[in-house]
Order: sequence, then C-alpha cells, then structure tokens
Amino acid sequence: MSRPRFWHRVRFKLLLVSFTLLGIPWAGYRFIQETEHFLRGAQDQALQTTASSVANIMHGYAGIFHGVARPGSVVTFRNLYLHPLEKAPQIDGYRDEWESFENNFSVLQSVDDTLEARIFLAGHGRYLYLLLGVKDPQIAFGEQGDAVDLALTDGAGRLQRYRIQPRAPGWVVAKRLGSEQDLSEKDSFEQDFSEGIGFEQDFPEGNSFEQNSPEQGSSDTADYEAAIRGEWQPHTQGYTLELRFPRELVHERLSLRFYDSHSGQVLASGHMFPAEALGRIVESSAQLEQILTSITPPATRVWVTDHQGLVIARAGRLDTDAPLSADQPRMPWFIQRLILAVLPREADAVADLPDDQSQLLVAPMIEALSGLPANLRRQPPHGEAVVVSAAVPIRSSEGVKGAVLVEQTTNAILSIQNLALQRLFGVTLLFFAVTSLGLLAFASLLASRITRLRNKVEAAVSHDGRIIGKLQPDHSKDEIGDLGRSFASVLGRLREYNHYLEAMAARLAHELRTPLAVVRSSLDNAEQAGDEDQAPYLQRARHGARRLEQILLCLREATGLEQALHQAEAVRFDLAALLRLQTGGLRDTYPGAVLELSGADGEISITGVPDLISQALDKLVSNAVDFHRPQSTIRIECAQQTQTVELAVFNEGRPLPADADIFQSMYSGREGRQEEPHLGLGLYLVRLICEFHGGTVRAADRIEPQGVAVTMSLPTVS
Amino acid sequence: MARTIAIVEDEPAIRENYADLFRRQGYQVDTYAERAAASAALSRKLPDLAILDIGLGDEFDGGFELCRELRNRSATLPIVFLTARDSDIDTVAGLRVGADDYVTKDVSLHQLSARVSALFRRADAARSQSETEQTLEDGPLLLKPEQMRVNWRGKTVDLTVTELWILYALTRHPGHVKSREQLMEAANTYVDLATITSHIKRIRRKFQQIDPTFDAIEAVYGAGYRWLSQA
Repeated sequence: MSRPRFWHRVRFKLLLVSFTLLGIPWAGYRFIQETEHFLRGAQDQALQTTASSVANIMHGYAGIFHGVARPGSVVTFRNLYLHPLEKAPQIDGYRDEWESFENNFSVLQSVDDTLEARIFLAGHGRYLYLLLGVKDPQIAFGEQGDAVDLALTDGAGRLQRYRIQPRAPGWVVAKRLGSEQDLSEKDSFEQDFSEGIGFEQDFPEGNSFEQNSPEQGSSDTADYEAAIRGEWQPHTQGYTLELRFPRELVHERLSLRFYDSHSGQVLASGHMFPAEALGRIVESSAQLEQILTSITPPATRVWVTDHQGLVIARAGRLDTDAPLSADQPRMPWFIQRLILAVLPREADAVADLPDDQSQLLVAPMIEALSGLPANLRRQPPHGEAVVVSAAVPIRSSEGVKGAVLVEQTTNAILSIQNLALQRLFGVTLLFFAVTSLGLLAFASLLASRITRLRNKVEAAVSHDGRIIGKLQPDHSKDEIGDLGRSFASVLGRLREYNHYLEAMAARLAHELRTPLAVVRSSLDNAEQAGDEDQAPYLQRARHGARRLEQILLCLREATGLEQALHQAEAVRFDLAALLRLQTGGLRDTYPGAVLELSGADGEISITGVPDLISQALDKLVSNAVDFHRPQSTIRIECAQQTQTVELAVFNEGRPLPADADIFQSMYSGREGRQEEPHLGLGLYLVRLICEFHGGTVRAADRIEPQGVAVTMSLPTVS
Repeated sequence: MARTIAIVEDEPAIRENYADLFRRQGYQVDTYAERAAASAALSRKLPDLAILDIGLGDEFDGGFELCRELRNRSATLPIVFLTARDSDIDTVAGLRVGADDYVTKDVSLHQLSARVSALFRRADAARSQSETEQTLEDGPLLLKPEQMRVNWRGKTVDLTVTELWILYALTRHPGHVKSREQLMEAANTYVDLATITSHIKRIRRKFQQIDPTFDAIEAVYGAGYRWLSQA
C-alpha cells in the first residue's frame, strides 16, 4: 500500500479545520477597526465642535478681522503678514538666513512662470525688514532696468510710494515717487478696490509701469527716502533685495510691485493706488492669542486666520511626541510589528504645519474660507501620529471674515487602539496556537492509534487469509478502543471458525473410523463365512471400503501434519546429505523412473525438521513420477543462493494448467479415473511444510525441455 | 482346552465381528459392553487374553481402569488395547499402563488375529522355556522372536507386539534399508507413514531409557529406516 500524501491524512484535515479559528483574531481585528472608526468620527466631531465654539467667540472680536473672503478667491493674497523675528536679519543681499523662514515666504508668479517674486515681511525691534527674492532671467540696471516699487500708508494715512531701481549691485536707495504718477494712474483706474479682489491680473495699474519720466531730471536731485535702506545682489536666475526701514514709516498698508524691464511684465502684491486699496499688514493679535490660549483644550492647537488665511492668533500645542502606549506593558516585539503592519494609517495627506506658519493654505482652511466646514487628517513627515484638523469659518453679516483651524493628534486614540489591538492579537494568537497545536496533537494521537490498530490487524492475518495471531486491543473506552475490541472479537470468531473447519477433517477422520471398522470387520467375517454367490459382492464392497480407508488416510495425513507442525522441533542439519540419502531411497521406491540429483555435493546447512523436508520431497517426486513423460529423466536440482537454497524437482511432460492454484488443498489436476483415490493434498502439504520452514514454494513451466519444475525455496543458515 | 479371549468393546457391531472371528478360529470368546460388567466377570476368572477398548460408554478411561485391575491380578496376561485415535497411542504409551500392544479400531481382523496368535505363541514359549528357538544377536542386541523378548546390554526392553515386529524386520538384515511400507507390512498394520515414524520414535525412546547412547536405528530420508550393525 503506497504511503498516502500528507494532505490526504486526518491530521491535515484537522489542521485545516483548526484554521477556522483564525476567524477569531480576524473578528477581533474587525471589531477594533469599527471601534477605531467610531472613535475617529467622534474625534472629528469633537474637533468641529471645538472649532465652532472658538469661531463663535471670535465673532465678538470682529473688529480685528479686516476683509471678507470671496468665494474662489482665497488663494490669492493682498495682505502681507508681519513676522516677528527674534533676531535682526542681516541686510546683505544674500539669502543665507532665509532658510529658517522659507515656509513663510509669499510667492508671486507671472502667468508664464518666468517671473517670480518671493516676499517676506518681518519685524524686529524698531525696524521692519523686507526680504525679496526675485526670479528674473534677464536683469537690467539703470533707469530703464528692473525695479521694485513700494506703496505704503504712513502714520498720517497718506499714500507714499517709492521705487528701488539699482544701477549696480550693492547698496540701493529708495526713490520717492511723485504725485504725477498718482494722477495718471488714477484716471485709468476705476476699479472697485474693496479688499478681496484677486489676482495681479486684476490690477490694471499693475500692468502698466510708468518709467521715470525724463523730465524728472538727474538722480541727484530726486527725492530719496533715506530711512529705507537695502542691498541688492544678483542671485541664480534673478536677484535678491533686502530692505530695512523703521516701523514708523509704515502704518497699516503696504503693497509691492516688481517690474521686469526685459519682458515688460509686472508682478504686484496688491493695489498700489489708492491708499485704501493697498494691501494690509497683518500681524498676530496678542489679544486674540490671550483669549485663545485660555479656551484652547489641552493637546490641541488652535489657529485663527483672517480671510486670506493669514494667522492672526495661534494657541495650544500638538502632542506629537506622545509615545504610543509607552507606559503600558508592551507586548513582544513581533506582535508590535504585526500590529503596525496591520493598523491603517489613513492620512489623507502628508503635510507639515510648523508652529511659525504664517499662512494656512491647507485644504480644510480653503474650504472653510469658502464657507464650508471641513476636516483633514494629515500625516506629518516625521513622527507616527496622524494630525486631525477641523476648520470652521468665522461668519459675519458681510461674509466669511476668517476661519478657525483646530488640530489634534490621534495619539490618544491610537494609544488605546494599539493597546487593545496588542492585547487582542496576543491573546487570540496564543489561543489559536494553543488550540491548533492541541488539535494537531490530538489528531496525531488519534491517527497514530488508528494506524497502530491497522498494523495489529494486518499482523494478525496472514497474506492468504489465515488468522495467525491474536489481536490485543487497547483498553481505552472511546470509539477507537471499541473498534479495536470489535476487530479482536471478529478475528477471534473467525479464528474459531477456522479452527472448527480445520478440525473438521480430523473429526471426520475420527468419526468415520468406527463405522469403517464395522464395515471392514463385517466384510472379513463374511468372506470367511464363505458363500460363493456372495463373493463378488463382498469383493466390491471390500474395494469400496478400501478406498474409503485411503481417503481417511490422506485426511489423517493432512491433519497429522498440521499437528506435527505444531509439535515439531527444528534442528540444524545438512540438506545435501539428506538429498543424497533420499534420492537413493527414492530410486528404490520408484524403480521405473530415472532420478538425477545435482547440486548436492557439498554441505548445505538449514534449520528445520528433516522428516518434514523429506516428506515434502517425497510428495514432489511422487507427483513428478505420476506426470512425467515415460523414459524421461526426473531431475532433483539443488542450488544455493545468497540467503536461500532452491530445491527444484523437474519432470518432462505437459505444462501446468493455466489459472489454477495447484498448491491449494483438494486440488487435483489428474485426469481420468484414478486407481488410487487422490485428494489433491500433496502439494498443499508441501506448501505447509515450506511455510513452516520460513520458505516458499512455486511451480513454473520450463520450455527446453518442456515440463514442470516445482521449486522449494528455503532459508539457509549462514 | 480352548483359550479364552475377553473382548470389552462398547460398539456392538465391532464387538460381535471380532467375537465371530475368534470363535471361528476356535477360541472361546467372552464379550462385555461396559467396564463394570467386565470387571465383575473377570475378577472371578481371568481370560487367556484380553482385548480392551479404551473409551467404554461414558467412561473415558474405562479401558485403562480395567487394564490396571487385570495387571494387578496377572503380570503376564496379554492385553491388547483398541484405540479410536492415532494420538491415543502416544497417550497410552505414555501412561505405561502395561498393555502388550495398542492398535486402532480400524485394524483389519487379519491383523488383529495375527497379534493374538503371536501373543499366544509368546505365552507358550515362555512356559516351555525352549532354548532351541530362534535367536537374533547383534552386539548388545538379543532378540527372541518367538518369546517376543528383546534384550539390550542384558536388560529387557519392554516392546509392544507391533514394535517388536518392526524391530525384528529391521534387525533381520542389519544395514539394509527397510521402507516404511515394508515396516508396516512386517508389523501387520496399515497406518499412515507418520504413525510408523512415531512407532520408531517410541522404540528408540524405550532403548534410550536403558542406554542413553542408543542410536542403532537410523532414518534414511525418503527411503525408510535401517538398523546399524552393532557388532
């Protein structure tokens, strides 16, 4: 029986079943997911509520908010944010120090992207600083060259305009622009300059740039504002202009305009005219910040911006460093890894909002400024925690005046979630492992018990169906034990039945003996009583009785042999010597036949019962004599192999009958009537004797010369 | 005076058949069907020869009992056992109850009467003590066929009639191989070959009880047995 593959086995099937247990951690995971979802929703909701309440409070301070957001026009700016600095920047025309405020530069861009201006307005101490970085492919100096215009309102509310038009790199001066320009531009200017107008395309005066009129005269007599100082240096692809001027110079409003002489394009941060239309300077409001600080919940950051997203107030702190359940007992590292791999990290965007951000242009902010509250989950580039933001507009009767952005990390939720998940994973994994191992072990146990039972059953029955052993079942009370006991009982009953059948021959012989003796002795007496008429009848009766006796004799021989096999003791003897002796004797027994012995010249040691071997050989030779072609030689061939000796008796004659087991008991291949009753037990006895000696017997046809050879194969003693 | 033979056999047909046979031969035959009757009768008068069936009716060992009683009364009375099974011969021989021969029930009348004659001859020879009778000697072996006596190294070997006939057949021609069929004939018995083998075994055992080095009977496989000359 070929070994079946593992996946046919019961063990494998049970293992498969145990995989259904994986449903438990999966269900737990799904549950956790649902909970997380819910918690997240709750957090979003809470943030919205916080933002709304802050917005309501801001309502009361409407005076701080200037301007109304127009839908669709948020991504522009007109106002400039004043960034407070802790240290005065160095006005040298080089961008070394700009790195720390890179994120807060306002950027103006031309339509075709060839021109770009980056603006940073800062304040420190008495001064205000303007850091301007311009991308300009072609720089031209001089009165017809590139220029930067400033427009501001002074302390008295009057419009002042200056132009910075360097003649060479280095120190620059700001030339005051006169009122003629004011007027000329005024005529061409009829726009509605309520704050909220968008792009620089909307600044018609921005598109035209009046160069200095030649009547102005030489620069020496122009009016320069000495308070404005700056440095102009070329830079890759453009130039850098850093300006410094005292705070008193500018009151509320400031606009900038950049002119590229080469292309004639103009970039403007806002209207240059009139004074009310200039861009504002927006600063954070200390008052608002104070209020905000008092109402901001812990681990929350709140921003309040104006209609352009410029930060008016900010309070609170994100708890970005909260370790995920650091103070809880941790699970082993592989479970942590597993959880991190499995937990969803659903951030909508990767974005960073550092504390010093001056303009919030994140998605929810833009939406809020358009009038719709919005949420965002963002993943900061560093750290693990996701930041949840909610933005809410600050409404007034005129429209959206600003927005409130509230942010929180999801650390708290994640902590709980992680912890729960860790515990869940740990426990269910353990549970799953224990159960499936238990199932596997149990299945192995069962399978091995079943296999053992199978082996026992196989061992108890010989290959030709005789029951050769007893089955000892195990003592367990379960189904397998029952099966074993049932097998044992069945085999026991079969064995008894076999015994009964085997004993039948003996019983038959025994039972027949007495009546046969009666018949025999009666016949003897009848013959002696001597009635001539009865003589032939008596003779026939005697023949019949004789045949009966011979049948009995054969039966008794068979049972006697089986008994002899039980009682026989094996000894070590020389088979070759026995063959030599016996062949001589057989020649005497069958004087008409020619017997030839080969291969028995030396010594061949086997363990067995010499009488039985000789009996078997007797039978084979007797058969050979009966079936041999007259005058042909009957050969007794002895050949020693590695572990066996092959003893063959060959006679020339008809081949074996096909499809017959000639070694079965009661098989007779003889044809026609026989003189002697032939029960067909001869070869059966030979087989029994061979098997008793641990060998086999087989019969085969031979072709040259044609005949039959019956070979006994017996194990030798080395 | 006619000799008396007592037949104790519970199977009536066999009993009467045997009785008729012996009566025809001129013997006086007394028949008994069961042990009690036989015991009672034989205690009054001993027969000249007794043929006993072992299993008598309900008594499994009835024949043995009877044999013991008779032996107690006469050490020389010839007793022949009738057994139903070949295996009983071994059992009986092992019991050593002291019978002179054991035959199976399907023995032919001729064979049975041959034994009876031999037993009577022996009795006569013992009485006459004639020295002119035939003697066979071979080294330590001394065999007197008429008296049915066998001596080995001076000691008597107690053989049954059957065994003695077999031994005689072997020793008449030392060194000659006698086939089992020949031995069967000589022993006036027709049994299967295995029974001859067991007779030979019993003969050997009886000799070995006297002389553990006895190995004069050699098995010639496929041919039969022969007596190795001890001279």
